[in-house]
Amino acid sequence: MAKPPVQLFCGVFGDEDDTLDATRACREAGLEFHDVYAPYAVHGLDRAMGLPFSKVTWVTFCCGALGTTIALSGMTYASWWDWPVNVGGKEALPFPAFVPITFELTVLIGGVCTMLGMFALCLLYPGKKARLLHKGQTDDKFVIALKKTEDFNEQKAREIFQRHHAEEIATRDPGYNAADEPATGGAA
Amino acid sequence: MSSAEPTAPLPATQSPATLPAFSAPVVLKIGGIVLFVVGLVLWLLSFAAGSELAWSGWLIGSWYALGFPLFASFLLTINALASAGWGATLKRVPEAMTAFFPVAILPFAILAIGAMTSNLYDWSHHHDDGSLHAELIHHKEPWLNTTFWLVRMVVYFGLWTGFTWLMVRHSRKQDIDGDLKHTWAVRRLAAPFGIVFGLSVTFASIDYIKSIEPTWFSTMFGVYQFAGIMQAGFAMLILVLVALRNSGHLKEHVNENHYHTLGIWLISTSVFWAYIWFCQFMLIWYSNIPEETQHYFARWHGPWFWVSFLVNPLLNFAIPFLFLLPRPHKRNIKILSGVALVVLVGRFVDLWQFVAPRPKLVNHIPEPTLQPMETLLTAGPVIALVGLFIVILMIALERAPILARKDPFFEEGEHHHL
Repeated sequence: MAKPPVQLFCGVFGDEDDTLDATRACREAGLEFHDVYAPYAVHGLDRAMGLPFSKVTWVTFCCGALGTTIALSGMTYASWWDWPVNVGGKEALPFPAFVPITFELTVLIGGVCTMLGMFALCLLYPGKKARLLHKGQTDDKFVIALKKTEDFNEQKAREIFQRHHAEEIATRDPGYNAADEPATGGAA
Repeated sequence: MSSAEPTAPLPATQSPATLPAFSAPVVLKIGGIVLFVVGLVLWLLSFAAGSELAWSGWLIGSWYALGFPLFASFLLTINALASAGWGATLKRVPEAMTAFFPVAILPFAILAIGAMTSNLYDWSHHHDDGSLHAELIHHKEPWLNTTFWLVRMVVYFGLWTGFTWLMVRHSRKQDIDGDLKHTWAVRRLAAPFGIVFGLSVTFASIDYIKSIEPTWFSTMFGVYQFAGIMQAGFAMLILVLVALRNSGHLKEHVNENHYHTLGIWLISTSVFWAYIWFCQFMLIWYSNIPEETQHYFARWHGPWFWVSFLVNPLLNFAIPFLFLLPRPHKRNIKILSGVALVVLVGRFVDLWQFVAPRPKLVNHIPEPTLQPMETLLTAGPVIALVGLFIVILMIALERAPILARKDPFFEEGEHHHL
């Protein structure tokens, strides 16, 4: 989570469908999102937030195409251009034999780069300190974080959160990190 | 005749006897009958080109149409075993598809006549002329003989009809009492049926399709046919749902999210088919062993090449893959049903290029005895039996309410979203 420039108005939810509905309602009410956090991928959340088409798709496509190119040109160079070898009487450029390797490299490079591209877009790296708005947001809670801009309609936001069964509503300062808070009893 | 669906849950006071029955669109019934008659006429015409060709066509058509109830039974099985909720609102369609099993015994019984009276299967009229070919077939006689072939047919159809009849009966009983025990009963049936299905489809595909080239070896043939059956099955399910939608049924409960899911299934089964199709070819091409390559040799050289290696992957893989890749296309019913239609034609091409060339050894080289354009009439039985399938499907749909409202997954299915 990038450090927000303004205070955040956060609603914590315990249910996926409530979160989706509340997100849609916030968007329709013209409230500005900082982000919506979920412990797992929620279908339709990006569309509910009105996010544009993900850039990760293009990373995947370009790196997949790169994988195809590397595989085909590498095999053509090695088995035809540089040192042609007669393998079982097959033609010098045996296309069917190239297909599995081309497929594997396309998927491998495309897949690994998708992960790396996602890390880059989310500013994640090994050893990065977690910044959380709620301790449960990586476990079983969903957090909608709205920007408290100057024209922020807190009354409206509070009403939407309450209508969708928010378990907790709080305003957080830009520097707030739930990960810093001491464990509060219980099984933790 | 009322085509209206109930929009609210039934009041508790209503007795089970008044559950609204579904009346299938008349246009689909008549369309099915027309297809059946037209296809049958084409089939009878094809006898003019020789009984071997005509029976090849009947084999293609029978196996093609049998694929739909096989697909439906497997879809119900995996949905039950995986607790999949998305299909709960449309499950009456695959359930009705399985009603084709007992009817499909008829085309296969007719096929048995062809197997015994024509040259369709080499092994059924075996003459020991001292050739190597005859010797090889002789060794396969314990499995490939007419009696055991007929016994296996009875066993396959018995298992398929029995299991699906029990599963559908439980689902329909649940409409009346809403008891959860029926869901568990379907699950208990689905687990063994998954195994029965895998084995029976593999053996059936070898018995009916692969054994027309009894000296050819491929260990991937069962899964290759399974992939084609699933792909064409999803295409047919999509088209049936769209046809029902166009006549005013299943409009709200099967929405773009359900079509999206079916589109994902269609593209993934297309990719799976391409994977298996290519694997079977590539492994045989690579190892280059005559008893394996004989099948591809006859199709690699000459005009069948364009059918087997160009049109077939184009219709079954390239078009569904490219057209269904973008998310909005899977949610667009026009694009989705267009692709489904292409896949159904592709399924015919896949079986056609397999069955119709009928290669024979000429100076130890397998050569097709029939060329593509001479064998187009083999599409007749496909048209006829698809028509019969549609008529049976519509009759079966009328046996139960179109929405399984008391299925415990019904609400999850209603709210399914992607």
